[in-house]
Amino acid sequence: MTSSLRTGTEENKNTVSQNPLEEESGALRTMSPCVLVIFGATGDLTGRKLFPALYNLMRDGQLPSHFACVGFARREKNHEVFRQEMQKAVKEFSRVKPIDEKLWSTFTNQIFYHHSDFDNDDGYESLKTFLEDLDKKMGTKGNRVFYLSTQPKYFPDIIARLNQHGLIYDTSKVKDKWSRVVIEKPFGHDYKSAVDLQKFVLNHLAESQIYRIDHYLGKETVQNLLVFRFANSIFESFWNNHYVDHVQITVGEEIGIGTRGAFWEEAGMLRDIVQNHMMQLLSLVAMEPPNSLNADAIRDEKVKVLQSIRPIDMKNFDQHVVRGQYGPGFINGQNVIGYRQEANVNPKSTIETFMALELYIDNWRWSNVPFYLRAGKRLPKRATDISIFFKNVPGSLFAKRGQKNENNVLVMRIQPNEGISLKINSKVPGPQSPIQPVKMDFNYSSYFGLSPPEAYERLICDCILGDGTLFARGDEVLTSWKLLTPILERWQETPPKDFPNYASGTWGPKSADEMLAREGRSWRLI
Amino acid sequence: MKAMANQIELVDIDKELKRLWDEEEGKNKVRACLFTLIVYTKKKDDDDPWKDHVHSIISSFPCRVIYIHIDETSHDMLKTRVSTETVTPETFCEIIDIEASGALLERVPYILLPLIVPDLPLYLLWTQDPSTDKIILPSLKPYAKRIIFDAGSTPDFSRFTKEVLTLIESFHCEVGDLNWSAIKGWRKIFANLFETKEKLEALENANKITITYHSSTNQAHPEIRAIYFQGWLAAIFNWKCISKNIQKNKISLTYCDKTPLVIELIGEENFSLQLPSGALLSIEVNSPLRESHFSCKRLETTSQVFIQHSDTVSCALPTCSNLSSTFEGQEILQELFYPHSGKHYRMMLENISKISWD
Repeated sequence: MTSSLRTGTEENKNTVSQNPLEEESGALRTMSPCVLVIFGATGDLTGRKLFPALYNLMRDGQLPSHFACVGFARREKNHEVFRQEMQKAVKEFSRVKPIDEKLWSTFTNQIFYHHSDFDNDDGYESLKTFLEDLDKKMGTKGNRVFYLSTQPKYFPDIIARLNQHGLIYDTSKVKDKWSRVVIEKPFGHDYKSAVDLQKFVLNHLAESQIYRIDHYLGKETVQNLLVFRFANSIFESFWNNHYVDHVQITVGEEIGIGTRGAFWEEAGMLRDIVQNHMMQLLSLVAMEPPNSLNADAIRDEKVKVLQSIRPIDMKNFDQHVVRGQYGPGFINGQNVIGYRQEANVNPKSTIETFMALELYIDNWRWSNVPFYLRAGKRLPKRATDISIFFKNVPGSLFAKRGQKNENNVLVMRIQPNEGISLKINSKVPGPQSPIQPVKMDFNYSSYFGLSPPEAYERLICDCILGDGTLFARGDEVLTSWKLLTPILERWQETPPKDFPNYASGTWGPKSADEMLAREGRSWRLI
Repeated sequence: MKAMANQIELVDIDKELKRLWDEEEGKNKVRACLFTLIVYTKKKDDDDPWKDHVHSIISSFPCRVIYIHIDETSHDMLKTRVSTETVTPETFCEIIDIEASGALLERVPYILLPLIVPDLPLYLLWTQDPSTDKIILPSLKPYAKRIIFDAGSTPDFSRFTKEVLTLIESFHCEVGDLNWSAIKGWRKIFANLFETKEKLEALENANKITITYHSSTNQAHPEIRAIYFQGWLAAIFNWKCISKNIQKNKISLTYCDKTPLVIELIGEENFSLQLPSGALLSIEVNSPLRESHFSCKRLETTSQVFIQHSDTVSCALPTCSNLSSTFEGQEILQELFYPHSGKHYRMMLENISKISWD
């Protein structure tokens, strides 16, 4: 077989578009050389999540062969100090311990630090020079990922300056290298701010260059939703309103807001969890099969779900939307204080730490199937799961003998104790025929080893590969904001009179239970 | 943690597995199993080195492991042992050891078939020359999802390559090769290094390529990876081998297409105790086109490769690149779950199968 040296476009006639030395495409994806620049590198996320993720990617051979990481932050320090700090962080937070010192000594040579304020033009010029120098030394070929691990208020400044100083490439003109910007949530704080931010960002970047992180999408269990639904023929046949009675999605935490009082007073549960994580889970559970596995095919289907959600019925608002705030209580054997007693929280705060929502998706598949969402802090346990409740069997075959048939429930446990279970009814061995619900259970940790990859490992990997599947697209974000912003507005107009309305260590306010009880349903005990 | 392996009668395998499982009752364990892994190896007097590799597999992917140890020193022997390995507090993996020799080898397929876990994949890790076994491999081939070979064990490399090519062409199962997987990092480095038209032309028209590898005395064929690498290049560029010279720790191959090319594979003994035998150490390419010189050298104690290239027009700054494989046993995990050795592997095998390696 002869080699085929087809050249690329006019702008990059030197680089071959199909290198005969590159492996054929298949399960293996090829990573381009690149530099990852982390803005806000001295913050919590970098040490707890990003660097442990990079280390484990390197350990698993998943980083590009030519790679460098530059921390960009306002605190003054040098490369060596930053490297030592990151080593300490990785030692503490890596999912695989102890760390391989030899591997770290290799990796450390690829870590650098750049000190500058986010609004300092000189800092961006010197960054540009530094990165070009790295390209020559490290072979990173001008490819860039800019990770904005900062407070949202800095996003516009950083993006504008990256563009102004030529660090972001115009995709219509530059073809031989790429630049991407990763933005952490939240993307706006309501519909209008999200629209404004989107317009601003699109003035400087193409949508294909924007990677909006929702780290839930990086979780193995969330990615498994697509595989579970679309790689198993049996489930699709009953994944609809003929068989499904209702769906419950729960994101519960037993911890309070901790030291994040100032942040939480501005955010609240809707902004922090419901608008992003829960809407992602909802759209993955409810979407139609995509026509391919490319990013836009999947995201198109997710957006269709969000667009099909019936707007909140504002006339009967309280029947479909519940908010709550935790008071003092008892968790894990300890007394705990209420939200209003937490540090940096207004003693009369009206911010919600709990939210429950009843939604309907008006399409053929889900017509009249309620989706119940709840998210809360200071609940009895940490648990994120999706429960599909199926309709009970027709007739009363076993009821004549006084037996109670329980609904089948398919549960996808996102965290912790990741896995999937199916509750079925079984006969109890013996001469009589009592029926007992039992569980068929698949547990991730029993089958897939000691330490599955963390969400950020997968997300960083996909960003370098240019695969946007696991990142929120602009229209996804805006559609969910459009749906949920009226709730924020109603809450703003009508401050709650009963806060705090649930004790820490309980499953939320009574009104959340009543929301389901009205329909003869109840929240699943997790 | 591994439970003791007791020798048992063949008929008692299931009973012993059940007994071991019952011992774990009440301890919240799961008899997790993703697949059946059959490891075919020669019995050694000391601990089988493959057990460490298999342990790394079980750590990531719990499975039922069946070892087939072929004992060439004994006559007509068949022994079985059963044990378990607990990798996580919840996971319990079953290990079945079968030692066989002589006329009793014929019974092994009959023992194996009922032990394969139903509905789940079967992987074969064949650490010996496949052409030497006419009993067990033929019986398992129809059921195997993937057969992974280690060419370093084969005494007749030419026969091995032909046998594997036959397997690829005639059976539905996929074929993996640990030595091919081991050089994946180097192939990626080359693909990144020779990414422009000019550099590819320089490589295609090279007149000398030198590949050094780690040669230690504890492996029969440490040159395999180097052979694979040059075979891969020869297949990509359609170089035809016209002569060869094989000496201890040095193989010279002369290719002739447009420009005569000499490829030397040189073994370096005692390079580093930390590197496995056969690991590639350096690759240098010289080309008359613009007097190009490319050098890739592995740094001794790390997984990095130091890369430098120059020609009459430019002399690039040296760069460092990471080899993708960083921990022992990673090649096996790659070969089990991430099959990628399709077209290039086959091309490479076809190329080297045309050369007699005696």
